[in-house]
Amino acid sequence: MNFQGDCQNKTDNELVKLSLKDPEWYGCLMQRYESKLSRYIYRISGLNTEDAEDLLQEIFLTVYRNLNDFDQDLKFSSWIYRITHNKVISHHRKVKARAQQINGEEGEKILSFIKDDTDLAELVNDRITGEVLSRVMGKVDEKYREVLILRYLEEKDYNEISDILKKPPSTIGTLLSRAKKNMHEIIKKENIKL
Amino acid sequence: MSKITDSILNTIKQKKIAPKPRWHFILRQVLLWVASVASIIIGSITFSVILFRLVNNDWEFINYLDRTPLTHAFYTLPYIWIIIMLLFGLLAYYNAKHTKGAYKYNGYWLVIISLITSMAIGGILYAFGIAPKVHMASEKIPIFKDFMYDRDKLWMEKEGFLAGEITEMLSGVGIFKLTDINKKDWTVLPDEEFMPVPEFFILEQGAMVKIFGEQVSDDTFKAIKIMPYEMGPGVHKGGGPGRLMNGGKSMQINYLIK
Repeated sequence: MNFQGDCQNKTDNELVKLSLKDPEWYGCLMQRYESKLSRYIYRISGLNTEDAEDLLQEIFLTVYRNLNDFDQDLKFSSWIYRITHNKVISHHRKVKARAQQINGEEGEKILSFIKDDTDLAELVNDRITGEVLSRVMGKVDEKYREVLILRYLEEKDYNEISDILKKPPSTIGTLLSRAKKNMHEIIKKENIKL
Repeated sequence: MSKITDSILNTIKQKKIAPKPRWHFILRQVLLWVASVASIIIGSITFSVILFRLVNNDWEFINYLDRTPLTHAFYTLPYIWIIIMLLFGLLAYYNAKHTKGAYKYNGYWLVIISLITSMAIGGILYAFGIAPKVHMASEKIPIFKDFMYDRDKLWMEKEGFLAGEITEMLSGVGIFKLTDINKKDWTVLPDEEFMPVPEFFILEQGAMVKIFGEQVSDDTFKAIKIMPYEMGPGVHKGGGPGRLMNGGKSMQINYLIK
């Protein structure tokens, strides 16, 4: 059977059901999420490529073992991001090191979101570049950083972030609002230094 | 196919890794729910006993105890039951929090809801007379006896206080034979200042009473105020041998709410 050709037209949920019958289909799911999750791991953990790859393999195996636990009412992407988040956290606990890595290009991406955000738009001026913003992100409090990454870089909505972090949507709203306030303060400081 | 995908598919095949069966996850969820419900039920029973203890806290004798309401509350609050109720409330919250989809709700609300549910069900259990049975059973457990305020001791040791079971009604209002908690027999007579007993309470054989008054001889006690030793739904109110005269078993006889 040509799994690669067939999986293009299948939804995540269909692929989960098929993977439970034949692990070859799981290859389709892994390919669909490999680069997204690698990027996410890198952004929230700052692990080097090799360690991130090891962690990703561990995540894919965990996901496969727990496929029967996947709740079809949930988005598969939220579920796999949740497992990734949990694995990164437990890895972080083991190695006691967690740095965030946002490059200049990604900083630009966040910048474009900020420009549309009434809370932060006033702070954006010509001196704020993607590079500056990636630096700002590095200074944002760790507890707010991930929610910013999920919202602005992974482009998840409140409900998806709620499913990934297992927090009520109202808490996600509060976290994002505090995260913006935190960025607001840091950008102000950065502007003075520029 | 990428290197990672390829490697994982090979691992799955070589090590014959299979997804955990569905029942494994269903069982976990069922156990969490059972544990949540059990915690709420235990919390509810506990709350019914707290109510029982608060009702039977001798508030009506506070003037004779030389205590302010605050100090009396401090001495007599059923701390161990309160702690148990809070622990099971938190356990219910913890279990509920781990059920699927519970994270959508605010944690504080889950705590408040689990405690309010325990209190509401506990109120119903109290009304159905469950609390005295649980209270009596708990008194047989050493740790409960050690940590609970000892009412029996107060009523048997403080001067002017007496508690026990009416064994025989004699002719005249407030005249009866009584066996106290320490199994000593007394004749109780009304004092000149005797206060009428409340309407809801009938002095009859088998009723456990608490009396404030004065000991006038070795086996005679003059009563100023007589009240039921325990009140509330499920308490034996007399009409037959009470718990002292029936080896602690009589609480099961005539145990209906009167």
